[in-house]
Amino acid sequence: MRGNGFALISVLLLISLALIGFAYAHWEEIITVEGEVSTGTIDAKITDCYCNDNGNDPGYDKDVASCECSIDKNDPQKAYVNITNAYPCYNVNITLVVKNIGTIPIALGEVRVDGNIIPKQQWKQIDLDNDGKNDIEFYVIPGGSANPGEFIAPILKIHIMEGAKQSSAEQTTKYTFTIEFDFWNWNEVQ
Amino acid sequence: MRQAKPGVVFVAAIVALMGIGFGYAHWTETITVEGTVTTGNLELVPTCEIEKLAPDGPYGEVDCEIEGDTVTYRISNAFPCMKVRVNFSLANTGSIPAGLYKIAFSDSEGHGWEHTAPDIPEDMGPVIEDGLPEWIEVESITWGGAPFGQIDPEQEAWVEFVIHFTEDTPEGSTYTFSFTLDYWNWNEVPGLS
Repeated sequence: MRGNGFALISVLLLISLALIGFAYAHWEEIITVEGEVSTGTIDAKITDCYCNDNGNDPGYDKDVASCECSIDKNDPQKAYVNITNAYPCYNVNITLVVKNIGTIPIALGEVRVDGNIIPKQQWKQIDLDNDGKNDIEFYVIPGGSANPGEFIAPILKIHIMEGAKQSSAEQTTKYTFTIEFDFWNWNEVQ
Repeated sequence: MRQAKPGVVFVAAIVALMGIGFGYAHWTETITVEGTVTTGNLELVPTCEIEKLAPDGPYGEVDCEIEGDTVTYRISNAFPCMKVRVNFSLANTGSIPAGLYKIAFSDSEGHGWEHTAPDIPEDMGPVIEDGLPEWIEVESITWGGAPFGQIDPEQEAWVEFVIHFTEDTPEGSTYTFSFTLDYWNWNEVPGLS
């Protein structure tokens, strides 16, 4: 009888140890996932820009005003537009040819003139000399999107308004402005 | 009232921040264009001449003067059979073509007319003659240079009248008249561009 009790205790002890051992010594396989994400780049440069005033003023039979567009020699992300001898109702289109030199497709996201956003498909009148009269209005045709290595050619339409002052013998009236074309990753451009 | 669990609040905050990041963090590349617009100018400069052609002698004085954009012709002490040559010219000294938008005439006898583009007669001679009193006879009108309807930069339009005071010229009277020529930048004048 006493011998049976000892045997029972031994078996119970072994079972307990086996259970403890089972809990701490299960087999293990660790799977590791290592990740790397390299992002693309949005980059663009102007390769050409031109006005549609190459003789007679657009829409007229006289060559009165003139328009020139040039790219900065040191900064291909900057261009200069120079319109001379302008008059009310003179209108000209300036085309920017922009090459996508990044790795992500681009599209024109936003255009600003002196910080004023030009709404899509709308003319934006601006009083450049703050005299209470609008001088020039702007309109942008976005030009779609461009894949890497391809070109996008947005068109900026400029229209001189009645509020523009004329030059005089004593004083030349010159309006200066900065237009910023923001190109975004194409998928976020609506 | 149950309070939200800290874990739920945390997850909600992360989702909200991701939402904000999605809306404001598109990639962008800015191309800049510096623009300059220099305007032209519309400027017409008038000149005038007046000369007594007949008869010879000291009576009947003529002169003209220009003050700004106003030209004044004066014929004093006029009398029957006096003949005068009147010249008027407009030079475009600006840089924009000038188009005649409106021409109007009025005088001290109550005559007057007005024509506005595009209904300005091509030949203004008869219109001018008809507006004058009968005792001022227009013997000749000579047009020269550019047409008054449209004067381009560096061009000049001129007209010369020879007028004759008839036997019906009233004594001791004063007659005044006014011509007004209203020019616009040509491209906004109806019928010109």
